[in-house]
Amino acid sequence: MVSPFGRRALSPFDPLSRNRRAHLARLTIVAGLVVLTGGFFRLQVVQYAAHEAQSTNNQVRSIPLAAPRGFMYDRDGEIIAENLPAYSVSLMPSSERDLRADMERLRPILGLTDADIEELERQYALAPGQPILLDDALDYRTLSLLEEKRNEVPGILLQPKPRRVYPHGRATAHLTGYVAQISERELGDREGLGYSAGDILGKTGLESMYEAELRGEKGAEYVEVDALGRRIRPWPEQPFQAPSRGRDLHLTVDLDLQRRAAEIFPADRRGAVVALDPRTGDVLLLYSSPSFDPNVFSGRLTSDDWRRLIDDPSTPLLDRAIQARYAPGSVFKLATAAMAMMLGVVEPDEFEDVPCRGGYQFGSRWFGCHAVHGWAALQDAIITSCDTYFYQVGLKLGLEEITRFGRAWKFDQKTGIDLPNEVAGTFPASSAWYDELYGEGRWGSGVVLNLSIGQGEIALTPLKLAQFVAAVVNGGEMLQPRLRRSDAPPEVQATLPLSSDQFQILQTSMTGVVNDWRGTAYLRAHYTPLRYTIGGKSGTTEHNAGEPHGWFVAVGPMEDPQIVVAVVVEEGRSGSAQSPIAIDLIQTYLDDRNGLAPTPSAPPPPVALSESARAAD
Amino acid sequence: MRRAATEQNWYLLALAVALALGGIALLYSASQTATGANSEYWQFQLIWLFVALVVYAVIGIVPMRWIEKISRPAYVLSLVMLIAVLAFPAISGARSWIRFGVVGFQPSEFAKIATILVVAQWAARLKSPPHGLTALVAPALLVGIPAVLTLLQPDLGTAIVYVLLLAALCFWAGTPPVVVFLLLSPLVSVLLTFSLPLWSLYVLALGGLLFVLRPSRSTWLYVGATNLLMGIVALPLWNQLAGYQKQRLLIFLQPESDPRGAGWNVIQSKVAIGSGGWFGKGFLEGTQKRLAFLPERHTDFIFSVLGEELGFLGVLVAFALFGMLLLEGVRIAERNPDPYASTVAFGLVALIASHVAINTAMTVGMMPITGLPLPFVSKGGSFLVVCFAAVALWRKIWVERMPARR
Repeated sequence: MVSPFGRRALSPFDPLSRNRRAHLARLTIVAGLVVLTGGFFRLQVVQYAAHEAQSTNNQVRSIPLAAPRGFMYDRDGEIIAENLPAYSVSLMPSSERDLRADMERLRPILGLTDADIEELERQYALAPGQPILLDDALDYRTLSLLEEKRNEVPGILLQPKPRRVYPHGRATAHLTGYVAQISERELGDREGLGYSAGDILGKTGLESMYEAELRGEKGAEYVEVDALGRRIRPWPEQPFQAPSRGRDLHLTVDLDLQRRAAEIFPADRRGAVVALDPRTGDVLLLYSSPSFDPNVFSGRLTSDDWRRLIDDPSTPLLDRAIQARYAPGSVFKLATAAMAMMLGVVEPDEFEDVPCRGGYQFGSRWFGCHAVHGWAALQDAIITSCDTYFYQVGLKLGLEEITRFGRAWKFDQKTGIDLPNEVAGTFPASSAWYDELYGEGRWGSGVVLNLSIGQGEIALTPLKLAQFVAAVVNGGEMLQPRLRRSDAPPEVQATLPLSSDQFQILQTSMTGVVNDWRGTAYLRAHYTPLRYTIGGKSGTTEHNAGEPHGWFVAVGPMEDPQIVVAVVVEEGRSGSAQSPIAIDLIQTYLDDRNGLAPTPSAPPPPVALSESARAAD
Repeated sequence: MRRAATEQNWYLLALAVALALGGIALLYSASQTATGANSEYWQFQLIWLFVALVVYAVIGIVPMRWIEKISRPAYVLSLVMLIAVLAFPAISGARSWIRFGVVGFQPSEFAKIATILVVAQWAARLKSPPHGLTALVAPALLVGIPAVLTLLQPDLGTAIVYVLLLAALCFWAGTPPVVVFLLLSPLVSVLLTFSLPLWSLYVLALGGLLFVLRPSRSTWLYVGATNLLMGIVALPLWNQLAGYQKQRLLIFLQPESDPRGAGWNVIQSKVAIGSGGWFGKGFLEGTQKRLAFLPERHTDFIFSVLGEELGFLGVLVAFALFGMLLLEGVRIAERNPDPYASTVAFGLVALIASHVAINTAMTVGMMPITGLPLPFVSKGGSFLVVCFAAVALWRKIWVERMPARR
């Protein structure tokens, strides 16, 4: 190689060397352009598809459109939950600063507080680029005010958002539950299910249970946005995808019965009433008192409203039909009697060893009865609710047998109704259970006496007790209660293996409670004329604080049981005092089913809570 | 003289005007965004095109000898302006403007031409081709001073253009390419210091090259000392760079590392160009442009608008126009026997070519973002005037290729 340093040309600009350099320069220019062209070719031709997709992705945003929830109908097709057209206002700001400015402009119209604004800013930080819901229960005045602001506040988004409405709110509140905006935590738990901030979620009751079916499928509005996220126009290729409504829910409950229950349940009392169809386990009625208006949650719930509901000492949000446990009291004597007959420890026609002298002496303890019943056989003992008789039955059964039956009949289990947050009953599992509760040797055999009359360490939900009584009148099948209508055969959770004669004894006794002049509910039940053969059993349960709770479980008609109603009224003093409620509901239902003139305008039955009521139990 | 005043190179002028009109059309399109139109941009540019044509005509009257005479004063004046500009308030982080009311003007554009003129004067006085690095000290200083001044603005892109100008001018003055490479070898060293193994390999290769070439001792000294020095000081020097310049270089290496931030421009430009495909989305129909995803779409990224709306075929046409213009410039430089005029013509080719290459390569991520305008096309009055001044000089050098009868 000849070093360029060693060679000398005559002139740098002699034509020959200049011509050579010009060739080199031309080559460089052409080569450079070819390389550049290659770069563009790769981008525009080879990688076209990817860039095309990204360009579309860049320019199109989908704004979710809320889906209307499915309706809820009662067993006759009457509407329990529906939707009304409403509008929501959201902000889709291009930056956090815009968000603040926009919110300041909307503040007077929407009445936003500082705390609201802080919360909304936090929401924005969590999901920038997503619309932020300010209010989803706009009235028309606010809507038109916001329409006028559209130009001033470019990020504003007014969208139809159906509002959940319960036409008979208070009467069905614990059944339907309520819906409200999804919380951050709920959003986290439901990742991957297509929820986003501002969505409506079923929070309790059926709304929560059947959320997946009721919610429907969100639609979307596709809009073109610019680089700052400002909406420019609907995307011409696909401007809109309609949301689809959720699936309707057809329920087993009878709306007339719900309304009647809400009407006649003593307004100032806590308690619950449940009705089942003993043939299918269909829940005909589920009402808890005090009730609340679920409609307030669908609108804009102020924190004051919320506090009022939470701090209310009568806990209206608690569903006492499935979330409160009460000792069943004398209603449980039906179970004790069934166990005794099954094991053959009593003969239904025979008296027990000791007659009722107003109580029973057990060792050094006196166990009282509410009256003096003298000699009584099984049926009379149930009709008059004689504790003395059942103390002795309990002693013959023994603790182990009673707890074994309790487990077999699932008194310590949930009923499995299709409602969330049901609680299981309390029932002693065995003598070891008592050891654990009180310490070994620190409890007496007297517990079995209490247990046999449904007191002591036993507590059941109204639904559980109704399920048991339904089994007594349907041939012994403990059916899983259900709220959704179904043609499928009901699920049998347990069976009471009694003979039909034995069932007959229990049923005749129940008829006697209402219709025999000695029956605990005879006087109360006959304040109003009975149009059907109704049976039942009362229960009055002592507890540590205040007046005793009153139970009444009724069945009608006894010839062909179609409905079982369980009522519990806290501090209702006696069970028999609640019998008019149960009987009224049964007659309402049967009138309706038999095509008789409905009696919604009939006066509520007298529910006297006098001192004398206790004597009758 | 008479012949020189009236004769035109119509081919050259037609190419330049076609590019400028195409640029105005693209500016019009770039202004059509969803959130409003900046219609004044293309209108201003149209006015500037008339100004540029007037400058073209005025330069046409002046003989090349006069221009040679004003080379040195023009160079000194441009240096003064480059210093003065540092005292003006910064516009988007850079002090590169001198403002007279609403009209702004960037002296670095004129400094490029003045530098070409003054280096051409040096080339014209050469008795023989520069045969060593010592012979290149003068042009290196002449180019280095304005280059460093623009780097202070800071304007990395223009500084790179100066380096390419120096290489091109030395090459045209007869310097063997390998010597030009040795002259610029410390700059390669700077780029490679980020990887010690690469840099070591490079230094070894340089040593081998020097051993084969057996140049003078001063060349050995220059190449060795500067490369080692750069290897040592480059990292502290790196820390001296403005934050956005560092970021631009880093983003060039890995644009997806920060898609919302500094990498945004490159990514959006690539998406816009890439989604153009063969034929483009149609004039005025570019979605990325219309929805303002494309940044700086009037200036640095005007070529992305072309890529998106007119597609690969549009890009080919643009490259063809630029290619014909540059090859014509080389032909002019080749035909004029006067060393001064020839060097000026070639310097102008290097000036336009480096702008085209850096700007278009940047839009597809083949080069770091340096903020250089695209000649004839990008919005910006002073640069358009400079481009037409270049065309005017080419025409003059073409017309005077045969010594005029005196």
